[in-house]
Amino acid sequence: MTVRHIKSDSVKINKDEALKYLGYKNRKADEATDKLLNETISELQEISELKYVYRIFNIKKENNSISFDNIINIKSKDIERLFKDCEKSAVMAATVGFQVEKRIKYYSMTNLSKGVVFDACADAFIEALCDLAEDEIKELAAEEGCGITFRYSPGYGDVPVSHQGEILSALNAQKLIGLTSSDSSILIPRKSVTAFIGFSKAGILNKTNKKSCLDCNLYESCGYATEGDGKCLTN
Amino acid sequence: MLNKLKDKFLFFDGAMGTMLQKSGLKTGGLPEELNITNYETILSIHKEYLNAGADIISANTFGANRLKLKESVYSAEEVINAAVKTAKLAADSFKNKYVALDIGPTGALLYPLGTLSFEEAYDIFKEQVTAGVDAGADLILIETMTDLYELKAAVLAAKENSDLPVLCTMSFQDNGRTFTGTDVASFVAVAEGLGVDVLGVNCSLGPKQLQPIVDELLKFSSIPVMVQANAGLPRYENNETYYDIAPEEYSHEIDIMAKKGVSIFGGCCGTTPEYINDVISSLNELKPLETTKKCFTTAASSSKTVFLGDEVKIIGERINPTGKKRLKEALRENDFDYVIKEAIAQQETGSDILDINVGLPGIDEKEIMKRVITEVQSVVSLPLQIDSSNTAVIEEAVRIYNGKPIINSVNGKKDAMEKVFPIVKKYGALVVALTLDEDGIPKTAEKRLEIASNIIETAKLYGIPEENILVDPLVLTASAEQANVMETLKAIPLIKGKYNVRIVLGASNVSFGLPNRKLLNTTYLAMALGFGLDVPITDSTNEALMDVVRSFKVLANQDKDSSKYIEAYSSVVSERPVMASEADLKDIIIKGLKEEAKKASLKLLQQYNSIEIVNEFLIPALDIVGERYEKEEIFLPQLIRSAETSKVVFETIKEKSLKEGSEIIESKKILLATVKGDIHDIGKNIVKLILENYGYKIIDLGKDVDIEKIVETVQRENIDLVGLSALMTTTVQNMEYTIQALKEKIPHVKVMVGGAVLTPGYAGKIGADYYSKDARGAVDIAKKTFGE
Repeated sequence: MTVRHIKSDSVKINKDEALKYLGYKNRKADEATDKLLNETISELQEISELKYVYRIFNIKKENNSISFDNIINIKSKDIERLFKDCEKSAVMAATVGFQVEKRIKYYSMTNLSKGVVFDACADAFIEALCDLAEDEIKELAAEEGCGITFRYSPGYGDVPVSHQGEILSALNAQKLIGLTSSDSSILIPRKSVTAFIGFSKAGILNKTNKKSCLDCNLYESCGYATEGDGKCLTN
Repeated sequence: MLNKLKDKFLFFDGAMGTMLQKSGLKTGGLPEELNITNYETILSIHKEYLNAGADIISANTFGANRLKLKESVYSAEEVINAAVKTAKLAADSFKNKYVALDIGPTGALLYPLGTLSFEEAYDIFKEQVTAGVDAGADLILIETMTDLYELKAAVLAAKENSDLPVLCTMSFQDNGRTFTGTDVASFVAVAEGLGVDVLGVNCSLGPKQLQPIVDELLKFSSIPVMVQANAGLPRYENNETYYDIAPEEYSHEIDIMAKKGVSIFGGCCGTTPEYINDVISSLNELKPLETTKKCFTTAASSSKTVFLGDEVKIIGERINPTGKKRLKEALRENDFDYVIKEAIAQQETGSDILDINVGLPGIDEKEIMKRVITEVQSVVSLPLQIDSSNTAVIEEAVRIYNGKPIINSVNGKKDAMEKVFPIVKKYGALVVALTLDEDGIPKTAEKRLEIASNIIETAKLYGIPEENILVDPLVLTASAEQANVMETLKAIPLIKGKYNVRIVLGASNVSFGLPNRKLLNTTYLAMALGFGLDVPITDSTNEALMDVVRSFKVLANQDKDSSKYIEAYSSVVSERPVMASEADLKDIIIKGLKEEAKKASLKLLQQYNSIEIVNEFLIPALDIVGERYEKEEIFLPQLIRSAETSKVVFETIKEKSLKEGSEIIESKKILLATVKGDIHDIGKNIVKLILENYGYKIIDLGKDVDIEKIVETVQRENIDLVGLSALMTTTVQNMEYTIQALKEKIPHVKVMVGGAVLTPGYAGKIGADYYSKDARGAVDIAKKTFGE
C-alpha cells in the first residue's frame, strides 16, 4: 500500500475542464464567471487535503470474473476485455477531502452560482489528482516493462458501484485517507475516485487510446460524451 | 485500574494487524473473523504482548460491528464474544492484566456528511458494548475516530450501557485536524464533557509527528492522556507494508511524551511486542506527571472551539421567532433554508456562537429543534446555544448536537435546577444561569450574587464545575425600572469576584418603550462591557452594536495591535450609488446583479404592486435569460446568477407584504427531494431556485429522504407535482420505490424525475410521468401540470 499526501499547489486545476463540466463546451467564460473561477481555484488550493492510496494486485481471470489477489472479486466483461494483456493491476483511491465537501454545501446555500462553479472546479481537481496518481503507477508499470490501461472506475460499463466498499476496505482507505462509502455506494467525501489501472503487457498506450464513451452505461444521458475526450463526471 | 496511574504508567499492547501479517494470515476478509476461525493465532499474539509487559490487551474487535460484518456468516455479538473470551484467556494466565473491548469507526459517515443516522450509529455501538460487557471486558477503548459526531455516539453508547472505564482516541493529520476537520481543542471539550476517563491520539502518524498534537492535548485536557503511535510512516515494498521507525527511536519519542505528561502508552500500526517492551523498559525510571485541572470555559462544534473569558465573544440572537414574522413563517413551513441563511448572516458578521430558539405555539418544538440544529451544523461551523423552556426539548437537542453546546437556561428555582443540571452534567454542556428564583428577579446586585451563588454551589453537587456556568444577571427595562438598571451591571464584578464564571447578558430589553432604542442599546452595551460582561447575546448584523464591541476590544487591549479593528474600518468606502430606475430591474436580473436587486425592487414597490412587478419585470426578464441559455449564449453559472437575483426580488416583495400584512401571492406547490440513499443535491437546488423564480412554492425535503416522508408530506400539503432527483444507479431504485408508493396512495399526483443516470426511457420504465434534463425543463413540466 502506498499513501501520498499531496501539497495542493502542486496539482493544477484545469479551468477549461471545469468550464466543460459547466456546459461551456469549448466556449470562453464570461467575465463574471471567469472571476468566480479564479476565486474558486485559489480557495480550493487553500482548503483541499489531497490524498491518494494505491495497491498493486495480481489478477486472475476465471469464469467471467476477475480476482485481485482474491481480495477484490469482480464479475465484469468490460474489465476482462480491458485487462486482456494484464497480469497485475493497481487499485487506487483518491480524495480532495472533507473541507471541499463542506465548502460546496456552504456555497450552494449562500451563493448557488459559486456553488456550481466550486463543484465543477472540485471535479477538475480530483481528476488532476488522479492523473498524478496514474503517473506514479505508470512508472511502476514501466519498471516491469508494462504500459498501463486507462483508469476504470466502478460505475463505468458493467462494473457496479456496489464494489466501492470492497475496494475501500482492500485499500484500508478510511484509515489512510479518510475515504468511506455510504449504503448506496456513494463515496464520502464525494469529490473522490476509486479506479483500476491494469499493467498491460501490450505496451504503453498512447493518450488517444482512452476509454470509449460507447462502452459506458451512461452514454445515452451523458452531456459530456459528445464533447471529445470522453472524460465524464459521473461517479 | 486507572488509580494505578499515580504510581506507574499504563501500557497497552501494539498492533494486531501487523502481527497477523507476520503470522502469514492472508489479509483479505475481515481480521475479526479470525477470532472464531483462527483463535489460537490471536491467543498467541495476545500472549506475546503480555510477555512484553503490556498491562492491557485490546480484544480483536476493532471492526466487529454489524455494518462491517454485513457479509460475514458471523454476527457482531458472536465475534465480540469470541474475541473478548480469547483475550481474557490470555490475560488470566498473568497477574493484574486487563482486557479492553476495542471499538473502531463503523466505516460509514454520519448524516449530514454521510447517510448514517446518529441513532443508528448509537445502536451499532450499543450492540458492541453490550456484547463486550457480557463477555467480561474490563474497559472500553474507542479508538482511531476521525468524526467527532461518531465518537459522541460511541461514548454515549458505552456510558449508557456499561459501568466500565471509557478511553477514547482520535487520529489526526499533520495539520492538527482529523479527516473530517476536528481539532484537538474541540475533541477535548466534547470527550471530557461526556465524561470519558482517558483521552488521546492514535494511528495515522509516527510518534515524532504526533508531538505537536500531544502538546495540544496536554494543554487542554484535565484527564489522563494516552498515545498509541504508529511505528513511523508506512512504506510499501514487495507487496508488504513496512514502517520506518525502529523500536529505539520510537521509545525515545515516547520518553519525551512521558516527561510532558502523557501517562498511558501503546502501539498502533507497525508496532510489535518488541516496541512495547522497549517503551516499557525505557520509562522504567520515570513516574507519570500528575494530571492537572485546566478550567477553560469552552463551547465547541465539531471543528471549532470558542474560549470564553479572555476576549469578548458574541452569541447571535437572531434565530428566535419572538417578534419575527418571517422566521415564524419559515419555522411553520419547514423552510430551513431561511433559517440557515440567518445563521450564515450572523457568522459572517461576527457572531461567535449562535442561539437557537424555535419555541412557537403549534409546532413540534422537539422535531423542529433537532432538524434546525442538524441543518445549521451542516453549513455553519459555530458552536450553538440550545434555547428552550422545555427540558425534554433541551435533552433531545444536546444529545444530537455535534459538539459541546451551551444550554439556555437554568435559574435559581429548585425545580429548574433539578431538571436541567442532570442534562448539563451528562452531556458536558455549558449552562446559562439566570439570576432569578421563586421570588422573581431581584432588585439589588447583592441579591443577584446570592442567587448566582446558590446556583453555582448546587451545580457543584451535580459535578458541574464553575467554569461551565455562564451567569446572566438579567437586564431591566429603563422605562419601567430606571432606578434599578445599574444593579444588573453592579452584579457583574460581584459575581466574577467570587467565582470563576463568565457573564452573559441579553441587553436589548433595556431600551424597551423608549425612543431611539439604538442609542440606549449601544450605550448600555458599552457600559456592560466596561463592567466585565464577557458574552453579550446580541444581533451581530446590527452594525451599531458591532461598532461598540469592536471599539471596546481595542480599548480593553483584547484586539492586539487593533488589527481586527483596522481590518474592519480602514477600508470603509461610501456605498456605491445604485442607479436603479424602474427600467433597470429587468436589466439587473438579466445581468445577474444580485447586490442591486433589493434596492431596485424597493423603489419599484413604491409605484407598482407585487403582481405587477412579477408579471411586468420579473417573468419577462427570466424568459429572456431562459432563451439565451437554451441558445447557449449564456451558461449555467450565469443562468443561476440571474435566478438568484430574481429570488432577491421575490424575498423583498415577500418581506414587504409580511410587514404590511397584505396578501402574499398565492402559489402552486411543488415538492422536491433527493431520494433515499442519495446525497447529491446541487442539481435539485438549481431546479428549486428556477421554479421559485416562476412563482411556484417549493417544499424542499432535502436529500436522502425517506419514502414515507415524501408520501406523508404530499398528502398533508395536498401537492400535485413532485420532483425527484437521483444520481446513482443504486439510488434510482429508491426513486422507483418512491414513485410506486406515491402512485399507490395518491394516484393523481404527477412525478417528474431528473439526474445524471436517467434517460427519458428509463424514467418511463420506473413509472415517472415526466423526465426533465434540466431546470428549464422542470418549469415547462410545471406549467403543463398546472394548466398554464
